[in-house]
Order: sequence, then C-alpha cells, then structure tokens
Amino acid sequence: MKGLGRILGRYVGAAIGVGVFLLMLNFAAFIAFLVYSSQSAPEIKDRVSVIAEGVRRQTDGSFSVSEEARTALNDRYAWAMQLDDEGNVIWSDRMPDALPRHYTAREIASFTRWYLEDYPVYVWADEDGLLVLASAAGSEWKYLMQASTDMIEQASAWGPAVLILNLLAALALALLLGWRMYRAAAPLAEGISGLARGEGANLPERGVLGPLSADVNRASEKLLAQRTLLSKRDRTRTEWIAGVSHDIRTPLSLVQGNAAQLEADQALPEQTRNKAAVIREQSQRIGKLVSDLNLASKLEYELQPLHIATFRPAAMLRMAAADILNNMAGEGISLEMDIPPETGGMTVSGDEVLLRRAVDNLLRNSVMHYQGCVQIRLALAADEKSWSVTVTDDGTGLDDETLRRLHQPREGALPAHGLGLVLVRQIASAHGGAVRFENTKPGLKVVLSFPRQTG
Amino acid sequence: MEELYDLKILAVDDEARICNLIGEILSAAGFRQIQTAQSCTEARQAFRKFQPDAVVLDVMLPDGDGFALMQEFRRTTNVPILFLSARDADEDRLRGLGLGADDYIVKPFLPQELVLRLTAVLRRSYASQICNADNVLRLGETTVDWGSGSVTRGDVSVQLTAKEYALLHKLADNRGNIVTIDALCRAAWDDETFGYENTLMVHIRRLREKIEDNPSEPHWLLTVRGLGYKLMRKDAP
Repeated sequence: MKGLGRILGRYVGAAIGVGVFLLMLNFAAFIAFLVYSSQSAPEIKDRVSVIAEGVRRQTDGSFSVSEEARTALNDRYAWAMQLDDEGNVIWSDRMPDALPRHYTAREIASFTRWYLEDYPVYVWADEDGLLVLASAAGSEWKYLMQASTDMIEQASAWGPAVLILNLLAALALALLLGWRMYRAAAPLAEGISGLARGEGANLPERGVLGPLSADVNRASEKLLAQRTLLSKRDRTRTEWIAGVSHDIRTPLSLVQGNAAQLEADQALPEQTRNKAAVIREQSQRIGKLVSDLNLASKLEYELQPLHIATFRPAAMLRMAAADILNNMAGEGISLEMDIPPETGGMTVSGDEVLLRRAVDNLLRNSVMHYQGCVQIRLALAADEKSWSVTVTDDGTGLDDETLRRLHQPREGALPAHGLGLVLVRQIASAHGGAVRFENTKPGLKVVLSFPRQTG
Repeated sequence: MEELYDLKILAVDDEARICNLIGEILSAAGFRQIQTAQSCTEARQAFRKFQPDAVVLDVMLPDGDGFALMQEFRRTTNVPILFLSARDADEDRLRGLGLGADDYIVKPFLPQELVLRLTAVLRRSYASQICNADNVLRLGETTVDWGSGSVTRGDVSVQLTAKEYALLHKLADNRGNIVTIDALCRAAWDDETFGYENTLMVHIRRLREKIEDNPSEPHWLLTVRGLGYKLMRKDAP
C-alpha cells in the first residue's frame, strides 16, 4: 500500500508537471508570435510614412515618386492613390479602373476604418491631402481594437489570476483522477502484496482494473497449488526417508546384536572377535547415519517439532562429554572442559535433545577422523544477548570443499556426505542460531552460537 | 525375596529374530525366565499366563500399537515397561505424551545397552524386594554393605551418611563410567537446582575418607576434571 501511495504521488506530480509545461509552452509560443509579428507590424507604418515622404506634389501640380518610395510601393502594395481635401483622386498608381475617382467624406471615413472594395487600405495624411495605399484584395485582416482604461489596468491583475486558476484547476483534476485511480488500484495492490507475503489473493474482478485483478487471482491460485504440491512432495520424501530408516533398523539391530555377541564370545579366536567388533562398529555407524539422515530430512522440510524447554547447557555439555569418554574409553581422547563459573548455572531455552545431538555430532566428528590421540576442548560462553558452545580439536581439520559447503546457504538437496556436520548447522538454524567452522591448522574450531531469550 | 535375574521378562517384537536376539542377550546376561511374543494378541496371552515382572515392548506390532498395549497392561499392574522402537518419531511421542514408559531404546541397539537399561529399570522398580550378592560393593579390601549402609575395612566399620550413600550408589550403578556433577547432585538432592557443586566436593571428600586408603591420592573414586567422578572397576595403578 505504501508503494501504491508513492506511485500515485508521482502520477499526480507528473500531471501537474504536464500542466505547467503546457502553460509554459503556450506562453513561449505567444511571446514568439509577438516577437515575430512585431517585426512586420511597425514596418507597415514606417513604410506608409516613408512612401508618403517619397510621394510629393510638385509646384506644377504633378506628383513625383522617389526611388525608395517606388520600390516600397511595388514590393508591398497593390495600388496607391492621393486624395485632395475634396475627395478627388489627384494621383494614382496602378489603381484599378473599377474604383471611383471621387470619394465622399462618408466613404473616406468608412474605408480608413475597414476596407475599400475588399482592398485593405492604409492612409497617411499630410499637406498634400490623404495618401491611400492598398494591399491586394483579401490579403489582410483588419480590426480596430478599443478598450477602456480600466480594462487595460485590470488585465495586468487578471492575467496572473487566470494562470493561477489554471494551475489550481490542473492540480485539482490531477488529484481527483489520482484519487479515483488509487481507489481502483488499492485492492489490486493489496492483492499483489498478499502474493508477495505468500498469502492467496481473492480480488473482485470488476471495474477498470478488473482484468488485472482477474490475472492476479489466477496467479494466486497457481502459486497456492504449487506450494501445496511442493509441501506434499517434501512431506512424501520425508516420510519415505522415515520409512526406509525404520525398515533398515530392524536388520541392523540383528547385525549389531549378533556381532556384539560374537565379539564378546571368549571361546572364539581373538582375530574373529576383532572382525566381529568391526562389523559391530560399522553397523553402529550405519545406524547413526540413518538417524542423522532422518532428522536432517525432517529439519530440512521443517517437519521436526521442536520441544522447547528450559535447561542448563553446562549440564548438557558435561553429559555429552562424559558419554563420549565412557563410550570411547581407551581410545586416546583427551577432553578439556571450559565452563566458567558464571555460565555453570545459566539456563537457556531450546530443544535439549536436538542441541545435545549437535554437540554429540561435533565431538564424534573430532574423534572419528583420528587414529592416534586427540585433544578436544569443549567450552561454554555467554553474554547478555547470546550463548555459545565451542568445540576445538587438534586434528587435521576439514578439507576446503567440505568447509566451503558448510558455510554456503543450503542448496536444497542434502549433501552426499558430511551429513553429521550439516545436521549441526540445521539444528543451530532451527534454534535461530548459527555455526561457524574454522580450520585452525592444526585442528578444527566449531562455534555454535545462539541468541539468548530473556525470561 | 529373589535375585534380580529371577525376574520374569516378556519381550514383544513382530520380528521373530529380534525376539530370539533379545532372548539370547538376556539369558547371556544371566536372566533365567524370558518369554517372547510377536503380536498384541500373543503378548496379552503371555501377560496373563506368564505374569512378567518387566516388559520389553516394540512399538509397531502387526495387530496394534505398543503404546496402546502398554496402557492396557498398566490398567491392571504397574510392571516396568521398556520400549524398543525403530522410529525416531516414537521418541517424540514418548517424550511428548509422557506415557509413563520406564525407558526407551531406539533400534539398532547394543546388547550391553539393553542389559544395562533393563537392569537399571528393574533395580529401580524392585529395589526393596531384591536381596542378593549385588548388595555388597567390593573395592579391593574395602566392602560396602548396601543393606546396612556401612563401610568395612579390616576390622573397622563406619556408617555412610544418607548423601554419601546416595552418591556412592549412583557411582556404583555406573561403575567404570564417568558420572557428571549434575547427575550426582540430582541423585543426592533429587533436584535440578544448580549450586550444590561445592557441597558435592565436601561429600566426595568425606566419602573418600571412608573408602580410600589414602584420601588425597584416591584409587577408587577418581575426579574427572570439569566433568564429574568415576568409580573404578579395578584398583587404579
């Protein structure tokens, strides 16, 4: 809706702009016209006086025409005549024969104002009488303007007033049209914003923008249908993985259980028992992988419910550390705990089981890749806003490709390997936290950090 | 009354080979009375005739649901029930619904895990009725009698306080494994509250005075720095 307001603001602005531009254009054209016409208008007067100057009665009563006056006469006028005070034509130049050679005062008064038999005429009075110059018939438009002094004075005030009125009218019309447009487009804009938020749109398909609304409705239906299909597909995939992992677990239980029994059977040669141990270990690994895969797919498609509760991370970390030491006793693991006293009693909220799983995966990752002794440090830290768990080891770290992939935004599909660490990242983000993997050469440093909720 | 291993165990799983495996594991561990069932119907029958003291129950059964079956059993008796489940989702249900199962194990499981969990459940449920050889803890020359709560070294016999008893019992239950500070506090004070760490150290020191030859150089009750304590299986060198 905010966007729509801005669009309409611009629309109104543009309309006002167009009005102002038109006004200015007209004004400029008017000025240009005035300038252009002023170039010819005074010339008439000048020429009439020049010609009158050049047409002179000699002492013998005949008329002489100067060279300058002759050129002007021929260039500009169809014919010319000189009247004496009685109205008789005493000189003429190219005067049509049809015209009378005597004029009464009434006729003179009439043609000086208007036309002489359709010829627009100009007159000049001097001591010789009245010089009449005529342009070609129908070539000019003559109008004598009259105005009262008041009107001329008011015109200077009226002009700007009319301009302002024009501007106001343009603004009012633009606003009115803009408002109507806004009214028509508002539901459409609402619908489009709704689509952007992922909600469905159901707009009335009437009015000027009806076809557009109809298109938005179709788009919304399509989007909803696709989303339903996608979530159904995600659900199906997750259920499929859950089903497969369930089916794998029963045979795996048999493999693991029987291998463990063989491993413990003192009657068997040691070599055979060692082989049984390998089978047992590897089947445990498969079991772990299956359950990681299952959880990862649920987290990926947001189908894993989070059981958020308050717990003490210090206790959880000690438990995780104790379990890995108990289960992998005698494998050369040295584990150092760094839980400062101030974090010992700290409680946070989260899904303890999932977070424990993330820590387990990190510890297992540190232990898994090394044959000899491994030094692991497990640290808890907190400030007012966040808390973090850091797992550091002195092993070989991660290869660049794995490291790059762990820091990249998820690409939709689950990775082919390194699932345990991806799961750590998923668990962190499900809690609104983040994980950072860093090769410390030697070793790997993983920091899991989470926001700390108040209360 | 009877020994732990005389308790009757009923294992229910739709897969016959899993039933056999559980049977083998439990009898190898010393249990003498084990029966198996592969469906809800068989389980109900066995429940009536065999009257088990504990049930190891699968969730997915051909003719019903293990959760429903547990609720059915619980209406008549209060036998401990340990779930054996193949689905992660069951873990959520068990946690979420608070069905009152005594424990659950997710498949695949290790034999020793099953035995440990089951015996822990049995000890909890039948603590007052079992009197057997388990009733004595041997730490080299020192013996701890759980019945009287006394520690005997040579001719000298001292009494354990209630807290020392609870702590030593927790450590003995997990002998050979590290028990975290938090788990020990929970065992002794039955409380999640934080802040008993220092008190715990005091109790451990007193406990060492009673069970160790040289309390400042303990051989049995070892400190695992930053984590907790561990009761050794064999005399530490």
